[in-house]
Amino acid sequence: MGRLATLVAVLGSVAIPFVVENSYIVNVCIVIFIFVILSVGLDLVLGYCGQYSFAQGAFYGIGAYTAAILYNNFDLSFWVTMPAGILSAGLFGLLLAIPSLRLAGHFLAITTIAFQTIVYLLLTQWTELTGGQYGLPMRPIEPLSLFGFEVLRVEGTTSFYFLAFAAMAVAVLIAQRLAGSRLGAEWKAIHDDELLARAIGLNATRNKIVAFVASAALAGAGGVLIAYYLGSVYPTDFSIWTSATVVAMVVVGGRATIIGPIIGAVIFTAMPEVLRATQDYKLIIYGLLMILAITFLPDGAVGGVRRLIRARS
Amino acid sequence: MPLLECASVRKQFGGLVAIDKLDLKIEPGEIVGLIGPNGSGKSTLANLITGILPLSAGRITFDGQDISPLESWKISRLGVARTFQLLRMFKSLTVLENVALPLNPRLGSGQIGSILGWRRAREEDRQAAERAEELLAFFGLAEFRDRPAMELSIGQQRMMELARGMIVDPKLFVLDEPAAGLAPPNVDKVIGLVRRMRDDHGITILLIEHVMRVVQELCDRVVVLDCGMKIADDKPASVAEDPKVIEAYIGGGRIRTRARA
Repeated sequence: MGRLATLVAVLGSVAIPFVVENSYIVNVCIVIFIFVILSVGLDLVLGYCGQYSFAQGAFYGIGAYTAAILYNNFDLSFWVTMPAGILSAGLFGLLLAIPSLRLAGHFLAITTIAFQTIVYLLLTQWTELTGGQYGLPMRPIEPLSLFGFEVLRVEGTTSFYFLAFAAMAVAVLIAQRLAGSRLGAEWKAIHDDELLARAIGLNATRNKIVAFVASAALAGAGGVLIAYYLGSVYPTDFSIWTSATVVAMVVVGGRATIIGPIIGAVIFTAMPEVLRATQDYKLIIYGLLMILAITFLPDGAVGGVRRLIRARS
Repeated sequence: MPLLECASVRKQFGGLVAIDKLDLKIEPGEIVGLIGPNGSGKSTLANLITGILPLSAGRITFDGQDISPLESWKISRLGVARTFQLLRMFKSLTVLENVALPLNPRLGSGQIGSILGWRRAREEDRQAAERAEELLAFFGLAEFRDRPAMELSIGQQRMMELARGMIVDPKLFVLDEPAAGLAPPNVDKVIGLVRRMRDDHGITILLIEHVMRVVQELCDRVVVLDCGMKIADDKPASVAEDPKVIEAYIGGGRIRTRARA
């Protein structure tokens, strides 16, 4: 059943740009794909390892600004800035992993908020490098040439849609492989009882570092994509608000499930668009949804559905 | 050469000395009991040996290697397994996963192989699950293999802890009150199982236990702790008659009159 659902979702996503006349919906889908990359990445740290991180927006920003800075200063193309963005976000993930080895729970969460704040301040204040509040411009993705032949050209909304879709598919696949491997089981074990995990011989320190780095690297990839998609980068897209939204996606969707954060990303990206008419009440509705989800669906939407299925059978 | 040797081990929590000047040797194949009144430092010693707590002073050697500076996961990989007085388990994993998990770091293909889904890694995972199933059958848990570990009763959880330790074929198995909270028939079962661990698998056992029947029936030697110090180290029958041990458990023969002043 899972396989069938995946097939339907993939075919449906591929058909959208051809079936839907309205390019607005295609644009919303692109943003959803990028946020799926962020939320599935955060699920590794928050869902599997149980470590609350409010820094996913910072890694997203580090990816975006790495691409923008490399383009503006060195005129490098997307095919270089993409791996560079992933790499630099991953390195900063390693940096944030260090406090996570000594802190847990609220204290770690506060540290990640501090990290997020520092990154945001650097983006706004280090104007020579980041352009401050004016941001940095980007150009469209250059065609990819190999041995003088043009292999790939990304032009216009539809082709960007497919690029973002492919990136999301790769990100989900990576997260799924990690979560389904021995490492994923060890993450869950660390989440349940870290002392016991160490006592049976698991290297909890290394495993947590891997989770932080993988999570940050995925966010970096999302950041590079959004920079090219928007055609410019501004600090406001990478504030704590973004981090909190990604946390909400994971929690409301369902922790440690992979599919949960995907659903969460759809809900929290589509909802503000649907609620555009009721702009004044948006935040109230947001907050209510979070409270309801945490109170009645502690395992998120996915956990709730699973419980329903189990109750029926 | 002793399998485990503690030499003038000391553990201090702030001003409280939990273990002091403790010497202890365990020979391969022995079942050594560790008893003492509540708060005498038994569990602390178990935590020191397994690296859960760092030593304040002294030295612990296992199998010829100084393990005092090592973290618990490294000590575990050298062949020291343990159970916990207050049951511990991975509540979001199934019974089978709980028992099989300690094999993970001991599988040859490693994390990368598992992530990439190599055939060798899958084959190893299958063998690990098979091994876990054998142990579940041995400990009477076969029918619960796919249930969440949380759903087991206390007695079954104790069995799961034993299976989880056994799966790695440890050289030393530290059992922290394996019979605590068990009904009498189950206590007999634990006695039989622990004896088979040693007799059939050659596992050396350090047994912390309050249930004296278990200690008397199983142990080759009993070490008695009181206020963090070793006060006796002898055959079970002799220890039970040792005046110092009796005093530690039920107090001295005189009624103290200090309080009256």
